[in-house]
Amino acid sequence: MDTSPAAVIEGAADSRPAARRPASLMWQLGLLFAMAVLLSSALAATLALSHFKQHMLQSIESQVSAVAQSAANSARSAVRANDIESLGRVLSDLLRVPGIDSITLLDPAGRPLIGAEWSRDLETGARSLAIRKDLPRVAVPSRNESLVDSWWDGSPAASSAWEPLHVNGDRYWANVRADLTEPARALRGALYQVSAWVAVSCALCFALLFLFLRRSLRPLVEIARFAGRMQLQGGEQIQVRASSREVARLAQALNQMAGNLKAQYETIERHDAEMSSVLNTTADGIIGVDESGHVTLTNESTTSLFGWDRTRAIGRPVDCVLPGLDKERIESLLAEAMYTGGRGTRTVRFEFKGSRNGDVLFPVEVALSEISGRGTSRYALFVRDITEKLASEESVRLFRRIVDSSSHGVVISSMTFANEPIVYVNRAFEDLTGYSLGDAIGRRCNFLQGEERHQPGIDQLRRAIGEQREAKVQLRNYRRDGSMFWNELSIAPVFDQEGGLTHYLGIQTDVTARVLAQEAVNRRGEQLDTILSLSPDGFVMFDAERLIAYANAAFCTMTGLPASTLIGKVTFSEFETLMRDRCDPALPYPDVLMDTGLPDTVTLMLPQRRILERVIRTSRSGNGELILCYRDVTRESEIDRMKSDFLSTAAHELRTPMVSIFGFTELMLHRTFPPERSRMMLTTIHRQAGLIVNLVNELLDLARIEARSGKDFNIAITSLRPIVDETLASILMPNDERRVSVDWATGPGGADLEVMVAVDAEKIRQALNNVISNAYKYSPGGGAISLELVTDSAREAMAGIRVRDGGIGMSPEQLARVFERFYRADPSGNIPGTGLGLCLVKEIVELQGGSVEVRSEAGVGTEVTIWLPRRQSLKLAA
Amino acid sequence: MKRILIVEDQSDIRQLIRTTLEFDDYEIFEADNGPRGLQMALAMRPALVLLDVMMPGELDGYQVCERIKRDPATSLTRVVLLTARGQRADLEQGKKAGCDSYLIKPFSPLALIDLLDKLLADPQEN
Repeated sequence: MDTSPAAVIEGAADSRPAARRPASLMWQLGLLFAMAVLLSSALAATLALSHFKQHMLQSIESQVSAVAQSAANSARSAVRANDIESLGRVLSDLLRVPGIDSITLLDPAGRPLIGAEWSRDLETGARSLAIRKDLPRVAVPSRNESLVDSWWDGSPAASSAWEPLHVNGDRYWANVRADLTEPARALRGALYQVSAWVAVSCALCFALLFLFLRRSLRPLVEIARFAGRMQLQGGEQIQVRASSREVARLAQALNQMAGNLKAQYETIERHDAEMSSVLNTTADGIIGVDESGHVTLTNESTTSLFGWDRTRAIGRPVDCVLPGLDKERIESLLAEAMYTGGRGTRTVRFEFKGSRNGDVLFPVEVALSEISGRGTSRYALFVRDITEKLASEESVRLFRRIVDSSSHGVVISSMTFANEPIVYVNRAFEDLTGYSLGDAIGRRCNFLQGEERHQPGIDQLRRAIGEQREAKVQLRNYRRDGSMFWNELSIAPVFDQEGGLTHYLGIQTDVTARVLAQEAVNRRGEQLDTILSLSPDGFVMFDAERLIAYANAAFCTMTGLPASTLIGKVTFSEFETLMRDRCDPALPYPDVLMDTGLPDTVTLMLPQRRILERVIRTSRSGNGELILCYRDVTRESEIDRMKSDFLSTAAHELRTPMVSIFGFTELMLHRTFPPERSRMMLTTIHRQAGLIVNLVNELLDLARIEARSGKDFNIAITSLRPIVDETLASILMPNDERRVSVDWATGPGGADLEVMVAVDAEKIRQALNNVISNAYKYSPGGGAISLELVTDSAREAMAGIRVRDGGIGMSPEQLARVFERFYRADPSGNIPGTGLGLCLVKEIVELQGGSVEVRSEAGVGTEVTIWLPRRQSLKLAA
Repeated sequence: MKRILIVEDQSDIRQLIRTTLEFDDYEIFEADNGPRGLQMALAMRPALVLLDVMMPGELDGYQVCERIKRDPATSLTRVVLLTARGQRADLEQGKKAGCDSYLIKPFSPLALIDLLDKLLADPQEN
């Protein structure tokens, strides 16, 4: 990897368009240095060499010229003498001077007289001196002065000195040539060496520099890399071994910058995050649009709004999601806008259509603003999806329509004002109450109550409103024309979003008809309840769920089951169990389920023996209600039973004497009997016939009394004692000799006390007759029978006749039944009777305002007392 | 001489029956209540018992009839119930008790004689 700083920097800034990359500093420096070194050394070398060359040349030239001079000088004489030999010797001597290659003496025409030169054997390389006299002619200098010339570059390189030598007025020349080849070569060699040294040292220096720089600059590389990373990782501090103070400073500065950058970055990030969160929190879509109508920025909400990929949205035209909203449209909209904002930016709101996922159009509300300030965005769009708003507006319209067309009156009162004024009433309210919207608005809704401010429903309403809850009440309200109607009012509170009460909603229904019907039903119900409570028949009603819904008083008395334990608590099956438990187990219990439609008989034992006739009805409306009616037919049953008993008894009683009568008469008709026997049989016949007569009479009496219920009683105020006497006189007890002993209170003067009673004397005689007969009959073993007059302080208005016997008496059970019709203590027939005797007595006496008492003890005797209404004597007290 | 037992609480009726049967060749016994009647039946083993249905006391006529018929000693004894009740239920009850016949009061004495003749006729003559 190229770790040069330049490369690193370049790597970090690859988002910029490619620029000419600067060359690496190291290379630059290196090259520069190298160059510098090279140049300077080259320069120095060149200078040095040239100086050296000059010097050398100078030296050679001076030498040469010196030699030439010397030659000239030396040769003068020779020349004058034209001594070639000596010339040669001179020259040869001079030639031995190092560096001299040839010396030539030339005449003025340039014809060499003699020359001495070294020559090299090409093969051996040895140098030898040669004197030559045949040298070619050369040009001589024109001027009369010594001349030195060098030809460094010539071939061969030489240096030549001309020294004029004046001989005899002729200018002879001495030319000394030094071959510069060697020096030149030497110089060239030196040059090469120097160059080599320069190059080497250059390279060395370069290398050294390179290494040094590398070392020095590596921190920079790291720093540069760090710098590159700085923008990616905030807060990192570089730790670099500074190679130099500058680098250390740089690192420090960079670290500081990194810190600052990090802080700034964090601030920016925070800021960004805040902005972003704000922008992204809003449910509205925010779109920044540039000059040309292209999107510059978006917020999160736009994703769900338009269904686009935010990252790809940037740069697209905004009318891809808001079709038709191009730049011209934007401008035209803004042209109609108002100025808002502190800086006078134009803002316009309008409804538009947004496009989601490229195809679905939905209604939006757009707020379009111009952005002032620099930046890419020129316009800001706030987009809100109003689909729901429109829908809710639509449903509001719908609900309003419902309310308007409801047949119930609707009232809305505002609760935020003290008076709780009505703010809305619907058409139905107007129709119902006769008050129009204008009449009602602003008034408190209790104006419908008219004068009646103290209905129970009003308190309920007030409480409900105070507790801010719903309520439903029935009120008497008055229409505009004064007519009253029953208003079923349902109220409900309406709260705002903080839970504060803002309105109360009231729904009104005219329930007058219903209330009246209900009242009628209630009245009827009360009537029925009263009737049922009066009814002696027991009624039990089961509702559709087969729970007891009603049980009247009579039923509860009959069965001893209190209503509170039954109503709403007892199911049908439980009821049947209760009844069954109370019934006579010896008799079958008629299941309700086996309803034959005919009355059943239920025989209750508890709390007391009753015969109940049960009728079952199911409700006509068929909702499963069951009604049981229990009629206490105990009396009738008893009566029936007694009647049938009576009939059978009567039949038996009638038939028994008939046996004798019929039998004996038949025997007498078919056989002949002696007179005594005939007489006996006739006596029996007669006796038995008499019994039948009695029986028939009693029966008829009873029937008559029952039929007439005492209407044929002749009540008169009469004395009691005579009645007693007459009764006793007419008692017919054929087989009984006993007399009734009478114990009567004595009045003043010793006579029997006169007791006046208001009675029907005839009937009393009959009653007394029965009582006394019983006394006889039921003391067949004898015993005294007594009759006395009795009074009782507790019964001041009564006079009593007490008949006592010492007969067989009665057990308490018998005593309890003593007044029962046809009840006979001894039904065997040994004691004749119909069982009607005391019954008759009771009827007769009670129908006259009196009463009968019976006391008895089995085996001891019986005591019957008749109480009769007493009257004051007609006679004045004496 | 065949023995006849009359079980009847009314003395006049007992007298009537006795008188009715006096010209026939019967030895007649009387009881005036159920238990006594049963006792006498078992003791005397009469050929026929005339049994009143309606009698006071522990045993009524039906029960006496039943017992007479059940007891092997008297199982052959004929029983005629005398009843003032002529309802079908009563007659059925009598049949259930095992009586051989019944007479509804008031009955004709002559009918009684005929009935007894019939019931006491020798088996060969039937």
